[in-house]
Amino acid sequence: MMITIYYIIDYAVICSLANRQNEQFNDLVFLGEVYPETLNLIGKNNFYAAAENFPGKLSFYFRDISLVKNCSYDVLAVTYLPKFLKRLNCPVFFFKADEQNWKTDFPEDLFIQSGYTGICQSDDLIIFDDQSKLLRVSDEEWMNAIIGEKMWAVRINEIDEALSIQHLATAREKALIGLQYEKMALIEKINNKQQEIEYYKRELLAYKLKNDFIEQFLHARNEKGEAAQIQQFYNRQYEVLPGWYKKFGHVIKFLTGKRE
Amino acid sequence: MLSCVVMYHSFYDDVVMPDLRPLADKRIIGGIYINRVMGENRNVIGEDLPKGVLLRHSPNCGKDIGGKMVLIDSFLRKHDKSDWIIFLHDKKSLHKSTGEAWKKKLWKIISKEFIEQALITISNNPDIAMIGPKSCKNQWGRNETDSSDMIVLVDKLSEKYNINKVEFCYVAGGMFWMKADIIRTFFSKWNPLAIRATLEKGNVLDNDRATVTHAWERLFGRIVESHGGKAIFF
Repeated sequence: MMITIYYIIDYAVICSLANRQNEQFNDLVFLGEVYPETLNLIGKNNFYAAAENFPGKLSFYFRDISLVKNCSYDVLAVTYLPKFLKRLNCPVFFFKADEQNWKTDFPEDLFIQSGYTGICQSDDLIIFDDQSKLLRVSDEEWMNAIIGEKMWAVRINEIDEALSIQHLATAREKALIGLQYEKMALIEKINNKQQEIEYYKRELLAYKLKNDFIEQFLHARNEKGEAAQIQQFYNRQYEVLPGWYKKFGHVIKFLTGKRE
Repeated sequence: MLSCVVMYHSFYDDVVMPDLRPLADKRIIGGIYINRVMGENRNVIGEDLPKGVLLRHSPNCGKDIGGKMVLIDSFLRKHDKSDWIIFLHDKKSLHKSTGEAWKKKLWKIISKEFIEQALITISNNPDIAMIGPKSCKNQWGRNETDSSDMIVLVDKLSEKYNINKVEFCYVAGGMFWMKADIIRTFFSKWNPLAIRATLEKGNVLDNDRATVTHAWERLFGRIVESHGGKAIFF
């Protein structure tokens, strides 16, 4: 998810954000909202150094586009930062301006003379396959057109709020982590239940096997008992007879045709 | 201990940056500034460069001179305290059959032997403010590319930027060592990005006409002389 955060240009805030470099901020776009009193910070060493290690992409939001004229080289210098937000290799600015007069307020010539092709009209903004041009966003509607659903815009008017957004974001991350733990606990619980089920399945099988074994054993024992009885009967009734009697019996069997 | 900043302008995708280890071996490298020309279908140098490497992405304007201006601007904004600046770029000169050999001659300025000689020269001659390769030394006005148009243009720009119209030498190919103090003094007065905006766009050549871009290639030499510095070539 891309997140856009507007805040008053103040390198202290940027530094504060930059310190969170280890976190995944690569897709973030921070728009510095430029006010006359913060104008002199653009392009200055502290800002510049902070922007060097900026955790996401950077652009400016000019509430008053005529301000650019007072710091055009500073703004131009910042566009050369690799972190500066660019589309089609051109810097993207956000500003509110009169549709008719913005060209006179914005130092378009300087940007063209410095290698950029130009500034495209609002109508072209949605089409990004246009040739290299400096993109301009005249109002929030256009900004939304560019940003689409990929960005989450948060407007911050105070530095304290900017910092509180960080706290909010941290809280949100923590909440997400909390949910994750909850989910993990549930999965663990399910796993345990699953193991329990497996255990009982095995138990049942063992029980069944045990039962079957017992049954077979009992059956075998029964069979064995019967055989013993027959053997006993045989021993008692036949084995005890004298040999000549048994041989005579065979002759009778032969004569009666019961033995070949 | 001397501190040198390397300013490298990168245009071509297939040219590998020159070996800077000889500078590192001498413990004189104070930082690396890279300007990468941006454009469609061009590889962009990653943002995850080592610490001490400053990267800029700029459109193609004024070729390596435009790149120098972007990096000088960053140098000033950062209040870099380095003593010398070594200008390098990935020269190809596709319009010339000798392009590759020319680049080798220019890249010689970061060879072990050149660095050793440069360090001895700097320590013995405080006036030295520009060091270049002898094989690329041009005496102003005595080279075939210093056409009458070029002479007029260089003089015109000298007047505009308050540079004394003195005799000077310059490096054909724009790679040299230059004393940072002179860069600071001159470009604090004259915004390098404003100068850059006056340069021609794209792959500008000086075969047919004098260009502002090529005039600035020469003006670096005149700026040195104008500020009381001396250029030396070996």
